Amino acid sequence: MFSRSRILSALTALALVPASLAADDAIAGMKKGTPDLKAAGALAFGPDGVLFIADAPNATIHAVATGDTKSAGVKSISIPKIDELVGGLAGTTGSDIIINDLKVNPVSGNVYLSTASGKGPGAKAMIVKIGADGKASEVSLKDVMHASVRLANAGKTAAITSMAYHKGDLYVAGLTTEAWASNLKMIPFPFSEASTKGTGVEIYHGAHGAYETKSPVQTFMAYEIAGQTHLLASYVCTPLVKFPVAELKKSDKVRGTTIAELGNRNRPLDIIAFKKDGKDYALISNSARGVMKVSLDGVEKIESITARVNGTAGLKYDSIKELDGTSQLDKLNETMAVVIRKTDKGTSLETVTLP
Amino acid sequence: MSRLLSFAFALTSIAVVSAAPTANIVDGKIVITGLDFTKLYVVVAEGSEADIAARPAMVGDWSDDKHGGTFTPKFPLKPGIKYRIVSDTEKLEVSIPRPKPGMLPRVNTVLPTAADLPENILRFYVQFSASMPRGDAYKYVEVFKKDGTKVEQPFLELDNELWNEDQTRLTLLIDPGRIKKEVKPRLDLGPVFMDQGNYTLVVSGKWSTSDGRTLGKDFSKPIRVKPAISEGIDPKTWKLSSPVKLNDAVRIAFGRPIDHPLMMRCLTVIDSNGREVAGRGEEMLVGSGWSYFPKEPWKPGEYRVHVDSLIEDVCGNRIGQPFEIDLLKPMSKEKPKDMELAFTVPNR
Repeated sequence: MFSRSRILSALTALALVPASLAADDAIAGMKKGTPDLKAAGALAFGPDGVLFIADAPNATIHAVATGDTKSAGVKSISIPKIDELVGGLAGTTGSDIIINDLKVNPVSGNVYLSTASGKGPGAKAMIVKIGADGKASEVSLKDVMHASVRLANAGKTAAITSMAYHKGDLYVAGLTTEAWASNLKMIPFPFSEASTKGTGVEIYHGAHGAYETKSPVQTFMAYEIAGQTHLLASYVCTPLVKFPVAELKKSDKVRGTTIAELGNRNRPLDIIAFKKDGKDYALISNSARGVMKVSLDGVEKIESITARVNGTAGLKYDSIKELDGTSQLDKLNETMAVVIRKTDKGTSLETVTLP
Repeated sequence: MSRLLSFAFALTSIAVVSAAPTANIVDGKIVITGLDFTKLYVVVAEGSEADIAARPAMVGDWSDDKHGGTFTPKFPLKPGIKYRIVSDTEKLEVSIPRPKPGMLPRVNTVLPTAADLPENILRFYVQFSASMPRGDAYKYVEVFKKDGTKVEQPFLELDNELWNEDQTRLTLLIDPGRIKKEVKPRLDLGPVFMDQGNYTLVVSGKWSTSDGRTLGKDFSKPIRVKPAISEGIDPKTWKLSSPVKLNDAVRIAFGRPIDHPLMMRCLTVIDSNGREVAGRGEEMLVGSGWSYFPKEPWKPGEYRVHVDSLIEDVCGNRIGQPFEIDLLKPMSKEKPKDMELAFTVPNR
């Protein structure tokens, strides 16, 4: 900021681009204003730099046109203490910061974080962007083009565990602090009056002998199998399950096919898909097992795991020891990922080569 | 001529230096006076000089004064944190003193109230007397067996800890992988609770409160494990007792422990005109019953207890829908529906 030839530098919030610069389709139905964000949880990117932000206390998903629609040339980032960097922007120390999610804007390659400054009920939500130079800046949500959708029947204080956008639909997985009404919602985007509630789907996965239950989805991604969009979802109780999106649109109860059992003492955190040497893989970060590289070879043919499982079963996987301590993971491009890792030196944000 | 000019310049410099620069926090803003500069920013000044140098400038707005400026931070300044104002020539530091510590939060209770709980219990609630910080819950709540050994990973550890809005109540879910039959976590680690076993759920006194103190005392809840409840809820089997007197409660015995917050939220009393009767619901029979006292005495007539379909027992079983569905048994594909239980307050 210049004034009387002096520079008063507060890390200037990124001005989000006015409506005219963003693609018309993505911002259809958006209005200029300041979304009222109580918390910034799960993130997802839609078309043309549209950022979806889950605001669980308000049971609302905000779609914000970031205007970040050109390649930023992000190649290599290494930030040794990402929590201190985020804390510095908000005026506090790293120990007072919670990083809720990390997503790469697929259009620009810039890295976005949803964070909370403070750990008490008065914590402030902040979206942070990290560019090619490894510098962090706050993404101001003041007077931006945005649209919001309120989740119907969210119940008491929802937790939104994961979101993904694919071909015109936003998928939202979550659960509540009280009732076990965990389900997956599909919300067409651009948001419209008719779609505000989203379709709720209860997802069952059989495969546990004669039993089946619904269970919260921890993380998931959209993936094309034999020309059909599927969701590959990792549940809190460790199986990896596939189900066709077409089924979700037909019924409010869907049975998924368990395609891998990833073992216990473990909690899936993030999942991405990538190609290496012509083969498809999923990379899944876990609370206990570091990062797993799962071969998706034959995923279209795999039979549901229905028998008792000793050890692990289904699709084959390798553990990537070098990525131990990964709490956040997203794909940067076909050969690189961005991770947040906790090591003895602190919590770092870095780009890594896909294994 | 050139000498004169430089003299004038020197004078100006002296005049500026003589007004000692100050920085103060006024109404949450940092006000800087007596300082000329070409650049000015505020940074968190905690840790080593290298730590400080690595931090970005704080986000906020500047307004420009004649010899200084006012910084309005975007996020509120935090008590106890040092802030450094950096100009070309000066480094000034300010901070808001920490407030005197208030009452130490304590654990008021752990729900369900009962000590006798079914093997397949799904959910516990820890109720605190004041807000707690998020982020550490799974470190400080543990379950021990009778012999003092720890139950490994009893809870479903979610990224987003499940707190209520003011962060006074934490929801803990037993890992469903340990409840559901034939899934790996249960096959490998066994269920969290074994029928007929004795356990203690402990909220550690080492848990840090928001101001960096600790809770101080452990809170222990004894658990005696009873057989699993694997059937859906059927409100038709509940025993409803109509009020005997006009200021008495209507009471329901559920025959099994019902989730406390859902009991409080899902049961309402409706009069014959379809209006909700004001009053107060209470848990009874250590969580296996509910009573509702009307605010005004009952008027003789017909009433209904409305049961919202969201209601669950402590094992996550819903109306007509068990938590875990056995494919070998016929299963209703219908979703739980709201139900009503009629009662009459007689003329007397």
